[in-house]
Amino acid sequence: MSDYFLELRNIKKRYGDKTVLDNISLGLRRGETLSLLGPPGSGKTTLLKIIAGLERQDSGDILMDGKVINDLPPYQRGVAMVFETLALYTHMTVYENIASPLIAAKLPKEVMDKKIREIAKFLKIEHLLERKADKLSGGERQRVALARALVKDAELYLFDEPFINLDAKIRSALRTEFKKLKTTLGKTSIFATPDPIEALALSDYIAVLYNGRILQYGTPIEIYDKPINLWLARYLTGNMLNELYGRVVSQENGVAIELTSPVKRKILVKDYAPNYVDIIKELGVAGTQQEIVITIKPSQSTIESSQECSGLEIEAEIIGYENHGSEILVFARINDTVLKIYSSRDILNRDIIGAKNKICLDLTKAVIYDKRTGRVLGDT
Amino acid sequence: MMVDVRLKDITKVFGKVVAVRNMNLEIKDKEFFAILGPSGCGKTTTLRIIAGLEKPTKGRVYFDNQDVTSLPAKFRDVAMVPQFYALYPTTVYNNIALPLRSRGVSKEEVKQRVREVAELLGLTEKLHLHIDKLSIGDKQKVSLARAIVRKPKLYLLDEPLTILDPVTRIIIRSELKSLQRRIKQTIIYVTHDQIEAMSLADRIAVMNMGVIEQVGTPYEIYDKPSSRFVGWFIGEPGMNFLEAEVDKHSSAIKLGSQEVLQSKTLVSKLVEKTNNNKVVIGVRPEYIYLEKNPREAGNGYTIVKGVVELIEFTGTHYIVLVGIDGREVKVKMNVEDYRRLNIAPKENVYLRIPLDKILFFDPVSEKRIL
Amino acid sequence: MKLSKDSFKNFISQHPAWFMVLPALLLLLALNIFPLIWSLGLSFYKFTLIIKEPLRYVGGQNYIELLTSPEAWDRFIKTGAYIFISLLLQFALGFTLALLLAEEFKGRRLLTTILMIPLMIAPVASALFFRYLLDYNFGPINAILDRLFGIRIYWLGADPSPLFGLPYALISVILVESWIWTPFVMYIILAGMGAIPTDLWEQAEVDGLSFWYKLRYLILPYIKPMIALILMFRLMDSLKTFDTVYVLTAGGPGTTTELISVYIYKLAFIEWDFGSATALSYLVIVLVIFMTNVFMRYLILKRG
Repeated sequence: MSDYFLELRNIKKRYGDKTVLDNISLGLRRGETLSLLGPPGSGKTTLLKIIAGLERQDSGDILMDGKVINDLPPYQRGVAMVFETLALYTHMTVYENIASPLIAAKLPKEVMDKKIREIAKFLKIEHLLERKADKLSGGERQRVALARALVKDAELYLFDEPFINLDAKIRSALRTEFKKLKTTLGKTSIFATPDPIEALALSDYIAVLYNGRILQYGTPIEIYDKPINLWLARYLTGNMLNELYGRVVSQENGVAIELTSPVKRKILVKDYAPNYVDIIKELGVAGTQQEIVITIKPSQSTIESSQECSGLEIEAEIIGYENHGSEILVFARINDTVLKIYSSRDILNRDIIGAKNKICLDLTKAVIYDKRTGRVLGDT
Repeated sequence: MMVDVRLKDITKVFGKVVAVRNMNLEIKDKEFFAILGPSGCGKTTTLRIIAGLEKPTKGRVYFDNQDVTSLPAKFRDVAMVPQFYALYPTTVYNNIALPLRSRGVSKEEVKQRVREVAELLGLTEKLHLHIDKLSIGDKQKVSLARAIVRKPKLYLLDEPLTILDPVTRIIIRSELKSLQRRIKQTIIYVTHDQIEAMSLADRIAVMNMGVIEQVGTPYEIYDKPSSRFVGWFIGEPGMNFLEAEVDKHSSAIKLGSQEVLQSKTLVSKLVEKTNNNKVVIGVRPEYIYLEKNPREAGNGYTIVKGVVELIEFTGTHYIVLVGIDGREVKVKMNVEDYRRLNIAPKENVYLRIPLDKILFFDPVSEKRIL
Repeated sequence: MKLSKDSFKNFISQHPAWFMVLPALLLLLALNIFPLIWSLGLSFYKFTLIIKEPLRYVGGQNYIELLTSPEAWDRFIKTGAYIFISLLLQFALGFTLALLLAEEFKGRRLLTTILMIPLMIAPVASALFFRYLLDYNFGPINAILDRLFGIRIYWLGADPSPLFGLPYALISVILVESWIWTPFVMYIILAGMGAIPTDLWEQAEVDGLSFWYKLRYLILPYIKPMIALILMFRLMDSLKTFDTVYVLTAGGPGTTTELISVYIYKLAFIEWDFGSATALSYLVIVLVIFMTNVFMRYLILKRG
């Protein structure tokens, strides 16, 4: 028997002739946080609803502590859910809102009061308790909704994009608070979000959902460092990925990559990315001139002209930048490709727009994909 | 054409809500000026007052020393690009041409000017299309083109890029920046996105709850925030704030039981500016270095001991939350440094902070004092 | 297989929806569908109540007679002229009022409510009311005209008016109908204008668009579907105009205001010629269906 607290086995769900969830199997231990990461329409919400018992799967089993709970109604599953829409009772005070799930549990008044004040203190909404819910700001409503879910002693907490529609600033503040809460209280939770940063920052494990299937499952670092396909790699960086296109060729002095875009150049793999020699060699031996995509994240390249470049050097024209304060994300164009590179803020000491600049891409940090299938190379 | 905009003692009240309180602002000619703040801070109201769509409850609006407070929008010669493009239900060409035609500009000239602007924004191929056929990015471009074609005195942009997807946003943002270099006109740009304001503007006004907290260049605001709010709002994550005590006798500043730094001149300055012995230390997460073993502080640094509470991975960075005697500090590290350090929650760590990056705030007024 | 009690039960449990709508369906059949089919059948018979004559099948003869009768054509033309002028009037007035009421001013709410009154009064009552107002001898309208210009007009008479020489009685019918329906047109256009986003209005304000440009590029595109909709409603409604005419002039004097529906009424309940009356009704229905389709296709369902 597994040590999973919650286990999903081959969950399938269709709406009409559209398959929403296709053979989802997942396990979650007590105290862990799992993120369901995926674009809108990937099936995240449906899966949460099935776990909560608000929808029923067409086939497959849900197990809690090893027992099948398919037929249990939502209120017997010990699950609390925070909806994307934050359905607060607007005519009630914050206190009454947080109290609402406890009233059903028929707790003594003093116990209830103590619980409510504790959770309110933790989420820094004590001063709002007497306020009507419709008089709250977005961030405050979010906290109240969280408090209402967490005050209930549930075994499992489900969050459906709880931070959506908030200013980025409040969002990241709440994210940290949420993680702290989770670590302190040790609650088990599942968190659906389309935002990669949120999933990376919050969870112990991430299941990437795509078209109702689990595309990749792993820890945040595993997934971020080696996304299983090109789509996911782009998605995780918010389309800020640098992509080089080329094909594998075998030469006397070793296997090489003939780059086709954004520059035409032939590079020896052992000189630029020795860690890839074995993987690329396998492709080269086939002699099919396999086409590949080399991806490098913006943080894995440099633009400082003073530094010696041990990677691939490309000259490009700077067309714009994004000022992140301590760092500058520079956009540089070469042959219709825009490269994105983080740089220190010193670069703004001169007028950089329109300037030609040398960019150094560290290919040892690259992740390489098969262009035809989109799958990552060297994945067993 | 010259225009500088001046707001004098502007207050705007909606029912019981004070949207803008006693605002004084001067925007220079040909400046790219951003008004930055969280939602509900009054930034859009300010823009609408400048446009003439809202009449201030109190105070005056001046364009070039001319009082325009009661001048209706259509006589102010300003152009607006709203958040949701607000296009007329007709073709791209008509959308751009209407403001000119309505002003009685000759047909030939309208044609030529629309073509020029379309060329500038890459809309030439799409001029004959109905706006329903455009992508959101193109719609926002049309909205921009409609503003530019008029050659107005003043451009007012209200979060025009928020609804775009990140990639289009960056492209249009770059185009906007280079456009401003070419057309050389005053632009007032409202946004809640600090990165956008920092990337685009010559100067930024940071607003909170109807009040301007600070006006300055991006790095003035980033390096020397005038209040806790500005420090927190700018930067991701925002500035750390730690309550500290000033010990007059030993000329030291203490975080709980730990001495952070010792300096007679600094302490006497701080004592002069605060009424009690409490100050708030402000330091940005990206300026703190973490070390596993205690080392000499060295010149220009101070070392503070703490315990790792939480680690967040954001892809590009790690954010480590460190507890220091009941206070919390966020440290932002790049991925390689973090992995080299190899730390876990509950471990002891040493924070190395450059002294010149430490700011001091008043605990009561929350304003910066040093 | 024999239809047993069980199979009926089975059918119900498998198709509960059918069972639930059954009572309503039966009622609909009895009161709507059956009369419809019955009257369609009737239109192919010679059938009159006043002459003791058996029901006689005549095929399409009723239709042929109607289509070749100058009397029927006269009623059609009359109705056409009536619809054309009254719709023109209702739209012109309704649109102008809507434009005026779109702006914010003092007393706007009150005015909007007052304009609702004609819609709240039953058309029969309105017509009765106007019959007194327009009376040649005792009506206040003629009294005022007499006092001011020393003229009296036979409002409900057959004299030709200056407007295309149409008889005054028809003009009066048009005026009364327009009095009742202009607010309706106005409200719907107003609702359409309410759908124009505020930021678009403001954009037009900042862009400094003149009134005509706002009308042409902002207002009209937004209310176009509304206009099509009311045009369709008003067209069908006007084709059925009966109560106002009946009360005001009863189709007279002579046949001057005998619109198609009044003509059908007379065929059926004065001449007791049910065959011709039902046949004419069906001709009108075909006409309405045809026009509705044209509207739907070209104005309402155009997008997509």
